[in-house]
Amino acid sequence: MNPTNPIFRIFYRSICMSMVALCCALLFNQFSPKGLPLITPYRRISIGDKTHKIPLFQTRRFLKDRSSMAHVHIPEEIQLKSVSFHYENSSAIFIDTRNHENYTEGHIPRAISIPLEFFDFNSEILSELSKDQRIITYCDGEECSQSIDMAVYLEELGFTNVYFFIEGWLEWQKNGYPISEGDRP
Amino acid sequence: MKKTTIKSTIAIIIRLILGFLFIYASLDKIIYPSKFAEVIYNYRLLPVELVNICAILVPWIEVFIGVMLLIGIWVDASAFMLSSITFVFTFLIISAIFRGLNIECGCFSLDAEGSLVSWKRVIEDIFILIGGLYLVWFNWKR
Repeated sequence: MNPTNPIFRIFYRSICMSMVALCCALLFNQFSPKGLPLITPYRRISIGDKTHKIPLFQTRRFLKDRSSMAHVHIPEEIQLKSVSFHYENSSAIFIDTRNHENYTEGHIPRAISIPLEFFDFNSEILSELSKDQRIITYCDGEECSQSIDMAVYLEELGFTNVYFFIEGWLEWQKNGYPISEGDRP
Repeated sequence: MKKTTIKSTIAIIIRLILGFLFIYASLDKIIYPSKFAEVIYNYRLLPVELVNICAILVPWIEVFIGVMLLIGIWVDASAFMLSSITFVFTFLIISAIFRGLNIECGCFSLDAEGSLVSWKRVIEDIFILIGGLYLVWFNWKR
């Protein structure tokens, strides 16, 4: 096919070039160590009435931006090493935001189970805690957002020392830290 | 010097400059795709789900345009694609400026400090667009 009409010719060639570029891009992405998932993984973060879709790479910056705009304290991410430090020193309350089934199958020892869908702003457990108590929320891992949502809720309740453990239960388990089973902390 | 010779000399110079420029512009984006994905997301125009696929595809389109312009094959289509993509980039930058977004342009390098969206970037893009359209016009019936 070699159309003589310049418009057809240009479109035809442009489409061919785009197709080849697409194939090269996908192949390169497939084999590159820095390759990305084709569909951007994102979290849904509920703040107030609005739900935001935030790409995984954007979560921290998004929360920080909100902080600088609203001048309020926002929850911060916490890494596995710090989480294990606080676990060993019993210097934080852990909140497991997954559903009860997952919690019963295994959780961080002493973690309280508060599935996000059952979160109650008038919760008795929370009312007993000091507002400056260090709290670490977690869910399954990087693909879930309940830990962030929970952390934001807790901040809205006035807790000032809240952290979300993004890597979550999967990373805790993978690194061989202690676990508890059953429906009690 | 004949008029046609001048025109074709100008076309060759523009073709080589734009070819090098587009290859250069694509390198950082291919090496750091996740950073480029962030840049695209920050424009807040694409659905979140499509950000990555754009970050993967756009630099390779730029590479192909650059290579084809440099070696002088299918210059008409390459110049057409260059003009189209530059038109879209220009629109994105202007829209970011009007929305008050102080974000990285992602135009040539992914160096945050050096390339924030600005009218200077728009003017650069307009020059590239003019060059691309000249090449389309020059190669229209060749």
